[in-house]
Amino acid sequence: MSIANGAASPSTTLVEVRNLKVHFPIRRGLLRRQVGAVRAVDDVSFDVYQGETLGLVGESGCGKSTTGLAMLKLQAATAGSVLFRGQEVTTLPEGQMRQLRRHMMMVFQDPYSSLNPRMTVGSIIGEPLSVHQIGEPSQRPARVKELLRMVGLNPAFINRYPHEFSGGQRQRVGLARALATSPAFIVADEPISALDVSIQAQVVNLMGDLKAELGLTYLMISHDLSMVRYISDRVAVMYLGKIVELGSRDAVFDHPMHPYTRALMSAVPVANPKLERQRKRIILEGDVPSPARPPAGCRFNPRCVFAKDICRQQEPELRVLEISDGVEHRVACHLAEELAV
Amino acid sequence: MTATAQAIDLAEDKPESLWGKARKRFFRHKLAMFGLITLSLLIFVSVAAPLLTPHSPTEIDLRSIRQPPSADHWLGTDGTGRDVLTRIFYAGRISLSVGLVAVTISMIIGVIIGSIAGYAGGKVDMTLMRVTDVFMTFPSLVIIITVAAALGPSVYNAMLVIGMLTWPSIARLVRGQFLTLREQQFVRAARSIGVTRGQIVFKHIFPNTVSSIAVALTIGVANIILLEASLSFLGLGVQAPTPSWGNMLRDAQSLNILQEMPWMWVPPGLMIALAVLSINFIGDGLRDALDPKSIH
Repeated sequence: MSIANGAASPSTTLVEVRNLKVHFPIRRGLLRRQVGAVRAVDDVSFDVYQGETLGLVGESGCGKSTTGLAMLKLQAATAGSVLFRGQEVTTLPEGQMRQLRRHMMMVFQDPYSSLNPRMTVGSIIGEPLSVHQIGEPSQRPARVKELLRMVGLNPAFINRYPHEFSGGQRQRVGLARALATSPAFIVADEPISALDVSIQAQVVNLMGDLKAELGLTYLMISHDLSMVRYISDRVAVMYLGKIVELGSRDAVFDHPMHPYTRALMSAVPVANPKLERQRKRIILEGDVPSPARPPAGCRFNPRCVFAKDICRQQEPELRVLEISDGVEHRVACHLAEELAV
Repeated sequence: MTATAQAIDLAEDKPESLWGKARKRFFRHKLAMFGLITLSLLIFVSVAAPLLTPHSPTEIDLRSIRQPPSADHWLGTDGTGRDVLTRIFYAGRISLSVGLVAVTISMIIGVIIGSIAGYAGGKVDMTLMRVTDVFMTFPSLVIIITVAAALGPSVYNAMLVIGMLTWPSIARLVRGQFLTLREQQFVRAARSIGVTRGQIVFKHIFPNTVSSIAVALTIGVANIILLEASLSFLGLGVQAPTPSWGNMLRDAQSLNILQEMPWMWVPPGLMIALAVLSINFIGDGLRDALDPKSIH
């Protein structure tokens, strides 16, 4: 059922994110003085292991996309560090960062706006090759055709323009572009959410196949829990700029420990109609607070049915609660032990 | 790779450049072709004027003043006996080149200012746009009259001043385009694969603004031809005896001429209308041709 290849060896860390913060200043008035900040990503730490797919889930606006962008330095980090193979990324000068980019690529959400309408598919996919001067210019068309074949597109399409393709085909073009330089790490920002349901499975399977074939490491950002369950080895759950739970896929999906994760997981429909009828939804009350003024203590406390005094006063740490399948299961909840019983 | 992909793995599409396709689309555009032919004709008669008429545009013949059209003077003569047909041919040289030169000046300034403001954003954008606003508030006729008074009325001054006064609208257009395009995902995608800033501007953003710039350019030429006509009509642009379509209209100002001698003002008026119209049609055609999404 799953294409994830079990627990990856935790010994080799490809990307290390430590205390990453991305704050967007709010400016008001004539002098554009800063009056506050939207804390899109607020003190997030996690590792991405070599060869794994880490799913990053959460609702819209929780900061998951911003995290992905900051990891590739496409969005400046306010604080914290991102180490790619031990190399600090957040403070790397732009020139050196460009050199590093061939190893870390991105697949974008919108297959329509992420391809330049005035470039042929061949020049779009070939651009990373020429930017990083990979191979002889005369051999690049052959490589581009190989990439097209790899993502399941007809190599004869090399001279066509993006508007001549469907959404799913465009996303394959985006994937081919990201794969051109044979990167080690790919951040996929909601790669299927803009596609038809019938096409989504194709693209997800393609990404899985390519990962196995090319030994890729993915950070899969998504709000589609079924897809994340299908493709991920480990899953991180974000809420209001923080990671609230992080663990192996099975641990997070089958034994969620954070009240928010529990509510989230209860929303996943089950294919079996008998089980589906028994499924109990946990409906959360209220709205997500503004990331400009997050609540004190645990960020989830205003909506949490279990919240106690400590939750309103003290911010919970993301601590290791158990080790399942050889993977740490971390939860940021004061009451995790109590609730687990 | 699927089997079907292989099965239909036919010969590669013939490589056709964007320009090749654009040219094809342009030549299929009927209005644009009409515009192109008309404009070419106007340029031809202006350039080849000495070969087309036996008269001189400045030769005064006091024996044949305000003659109606005849075999010798096909469009009659004006108040000093000059051949009207000859004059509108020669006037084309002035009017069209004023339009071209002035629009080039305003295009260069406008594109540079607009793209810097749009790409840089923030304070740079603020500063440049306020400067642009200041230029937009200048009453152009007053400025032109002042310059004409200070430097003397001449074709070159008219070109320069018109160019200096018409760039803000182009700068605004280009800035707007850059602002939208800068936020497009494909620009972020270009950054993500390591494309340099310069290449992002020239390879990814600028080509996407070309079609709107082309349209602005043609409308600009048309407007400038009109502006030159009004300046010359006021006596501030091209000076007699050099003919321009505008000053020919001015020479025909009196009520008597307007009522009784249409051959003196209808031809230059028609030439202005034809030139402006054909250039606008060409602009339309360019916009459609340069859009890779247009289906043909």
